[in-house]
Amino acid sequence: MLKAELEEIVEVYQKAKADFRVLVGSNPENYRVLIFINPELHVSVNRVVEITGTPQAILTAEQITNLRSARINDFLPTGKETVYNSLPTLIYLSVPSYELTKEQELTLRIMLIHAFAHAYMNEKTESNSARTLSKLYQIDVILKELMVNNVFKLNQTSDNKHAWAWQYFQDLIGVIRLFTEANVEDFYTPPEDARKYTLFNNFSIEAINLIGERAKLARKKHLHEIIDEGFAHYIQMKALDYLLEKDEYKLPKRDEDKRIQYPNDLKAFLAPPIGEFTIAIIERLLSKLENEEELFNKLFSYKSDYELLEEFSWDEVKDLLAVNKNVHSESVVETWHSSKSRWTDIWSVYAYGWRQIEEYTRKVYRKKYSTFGQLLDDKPRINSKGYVKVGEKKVYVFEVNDYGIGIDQLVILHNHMSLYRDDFRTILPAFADVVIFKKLGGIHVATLFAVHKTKYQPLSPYNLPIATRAVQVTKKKDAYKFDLDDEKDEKIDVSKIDYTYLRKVTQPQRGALAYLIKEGVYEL
Amino acid sequence: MPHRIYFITETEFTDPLQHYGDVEFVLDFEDAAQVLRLWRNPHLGRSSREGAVLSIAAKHSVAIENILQKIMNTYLTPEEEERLVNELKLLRFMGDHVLPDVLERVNRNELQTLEDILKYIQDLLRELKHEGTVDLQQLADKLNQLKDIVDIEITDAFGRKKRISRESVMDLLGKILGRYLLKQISVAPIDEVQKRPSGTIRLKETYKSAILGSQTIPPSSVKQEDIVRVKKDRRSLVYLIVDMSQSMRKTVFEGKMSRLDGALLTSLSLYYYFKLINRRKRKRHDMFKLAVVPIRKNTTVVDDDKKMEHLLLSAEAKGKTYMVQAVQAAIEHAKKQHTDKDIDVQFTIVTDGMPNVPTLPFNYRKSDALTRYFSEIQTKTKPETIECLVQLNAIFTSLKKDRSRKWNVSYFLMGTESLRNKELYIHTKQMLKGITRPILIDPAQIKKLGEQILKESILYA
Repeated sequence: MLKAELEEIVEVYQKAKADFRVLVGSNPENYRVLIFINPELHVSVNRVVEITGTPQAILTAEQITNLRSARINDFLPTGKETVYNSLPTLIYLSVPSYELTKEQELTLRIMLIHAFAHAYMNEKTESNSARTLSKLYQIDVILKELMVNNVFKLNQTSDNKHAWAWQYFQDLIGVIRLFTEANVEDFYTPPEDARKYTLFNNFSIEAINLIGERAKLARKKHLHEIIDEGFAHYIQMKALDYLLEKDEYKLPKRDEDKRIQYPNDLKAFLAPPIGEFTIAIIERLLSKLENEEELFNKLFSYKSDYELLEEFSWDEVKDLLAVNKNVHSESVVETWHSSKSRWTDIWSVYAYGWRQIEEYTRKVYRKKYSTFGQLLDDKPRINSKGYVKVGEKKVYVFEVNDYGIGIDQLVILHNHMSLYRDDFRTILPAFADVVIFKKLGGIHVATLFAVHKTKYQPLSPYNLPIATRAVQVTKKKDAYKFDLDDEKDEKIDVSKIDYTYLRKVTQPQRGALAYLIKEGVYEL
Repeated sequence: MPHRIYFITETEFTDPLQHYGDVEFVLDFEDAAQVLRLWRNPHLGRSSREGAVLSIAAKHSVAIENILQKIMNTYLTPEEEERLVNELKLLRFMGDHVLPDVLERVNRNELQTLEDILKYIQDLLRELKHEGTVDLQQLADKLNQLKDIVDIEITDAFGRKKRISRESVMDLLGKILGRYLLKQISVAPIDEVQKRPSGTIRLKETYKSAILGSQTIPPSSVKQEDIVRVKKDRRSLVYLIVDMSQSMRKTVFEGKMSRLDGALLTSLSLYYYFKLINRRKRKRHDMFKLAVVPIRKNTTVVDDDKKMEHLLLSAEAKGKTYMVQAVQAAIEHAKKQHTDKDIDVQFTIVTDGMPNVPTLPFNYRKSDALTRYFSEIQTKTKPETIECLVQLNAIFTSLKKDRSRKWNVSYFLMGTESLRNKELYIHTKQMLKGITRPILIDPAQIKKLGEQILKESILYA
């Protein structure tokens, strides 16, 4: 039985609990630890939390495809523990081997203490972060169930199997979640009384309502990252000192400078910039206070990161960032990386991590952001730019800043775009076309998704006469001058295009738009 | 609170990275023909190529994000670290320089073929080479990924799109068709004797033995030792001898699929059918092995994936019907392949006409009766055709007499019922007298050809 094999792990768990009591004074009560025997599964969950913010959220087919490809190439980070800061706190771990070496034991002990710190914070904090995350988790579970049941039902009741339903529902939830969170309201929702017509309508209404609720909650969630990580890293640092002082573990020292060589698997906790920065800020705060107890109480009382940062002047925060970045740059590469690698190659990665932290603190401090919604609005992941009228037809324009939407997902956008038709009864759409602007690496690209009129009854939402075209958005003068197709007569009359409903579009974007419409939207 | 341990299985906690939409891709036979034609004659639209560039770019962006995280969060060996740093550089370079340029050139229709694109990218990559840090071999491997840009985009019965690389078209089509056949055949009626590729089971005897064993009616279980087999498992070599003469160019449905398309797809589906069956039975030897022998001037036996692919890409319906030569090639191949007695050989011939190129020299003993038959009747059939029929008959008769192993012949004639009164059918029937009988198949039913071949010849012979 596995229970016996897990005995050593349980022992370490008990030790970690005792450590935590010594370090903080009491233990968290409300948490779950999920240990994965299959580490791949843990990596997947870790990625889902990273991308969507919660462990149970549905990904779009595009995200899954790209992540799977990264997994095949062995590009996904492993070995990190994943903590979901809800109530109860969810702690995900890959199982270390059943029989632990001393080093592994230490690693696991530190990991657990780190996680307990998160759990403790979640129980004590005044912020709504933990409670909101548990609600989001619940909604995501409901959405998943809803999707599974509806796909099942749809396939059960119809004669021709709707093999497309899985992907469609999955993409629908993923894409509309993005829309709703970004506060873009331009997409179609079937009216309440459409429920009775089809299972699909019923599902869409149900799902869209839930996603709406989810987005409202998510937007109100307090920004709590620095406090969460700060507290956990601070406790973890204390725990390391405490355990090493006790002399229970003997860690080797490096030959050159006699610094302690920590176990390899602690890299995820000791190397990344987030730990460096948050520990620094917590220690700075501590120096202003009487004792640790006051520090903890203070940390629990903050509702959001802004309240923490506010304790300092902006110059002080900037200083903290710059100084610690410098210190970090001097040690991290040689401590955690191979001497074969070039310093610039590796440091650039950490510098990227620092840049993200700098950007976040700057925004929170300067713009006084305290909720997730405010941060989202600052740089929306999806952004409506109005529409272009081509004759009678509307072409909706968006800017997307997210990897979840690929060409497949444009079907969803298309179907739910301004479908203001009273007689909407089928799962199939009216015909509004979409243009998406998106930056992928060095390409700033515009993609058109145009649907021509169907002469037949389509079998699925994917079974449409579709034209997709893509072109770069560029400042080059002759970029859109080329004209290749011979069948000129099929092309639309340029004078019929009405750009008055378009907003906030740059000149190159406009050029790309005109080109795409000319090349792709014909046969109206 | 004391701790409690629960165990959760992977069915309860599924991998979030599973493809929900990953149900079988459904292709109709006609769609498969369409794909085959696309594959054989790739004239691909720009939109698909543009889409491919974008999906590569998206894939790279996600990879870069993850590599950055991995470098910071995961302990790496020096080799692994070097690999990741190199990958990172490469992906960035491709994203920043290569893909934008490729997209623009695809827009302009300047890059149309795989060779164009690869050459273009090679030129671009020289820039990176000067930095001197990236392994060139790795670069070359990475380039192969870009072959996606000239992939084939196919749509299934539900309109779901899938982009398949040119290398995997055969595998995809074959698997879909083969699995389709597997499903068709597994629903065949079961009677007293249940025939399976692995051997024949006698149900009644098995049942009786199970009752005796378990002392209850109905028996509580059927154990392995209860199963009564008719005979020892034998292995089979199947040769599908397919007509590729000029007449196969005729279209089967209005202006759509040709007989050749049908024959090729059937060959492919049967080829994969046996591949799939063999994969299911974990036996030391493949129970069945199928080789395709196209009836054309330079006869070759197609017995591996590479040759199969070449056949699918290059087959043309032209020229005369070199059936005698094809059969001889198959015999030679069979004799060379295995000397083991236990291996049966099955010839399945699919044609829409009569052979018309006799072979010389010819060493088999010709049948007097058949010669007499042809000399006595009035016929418009050409003498070389008659000679061929006589030769074929002689070959088959000698095979039947062979004691060293079992040779089976089945003969499928493509044509409607009205063919039964025509010389083509009568002569063929006469030629096959004492060997087998010709089976008529309606060309309009060509999508069922594979199923019919399996049912009427190989499995139930």
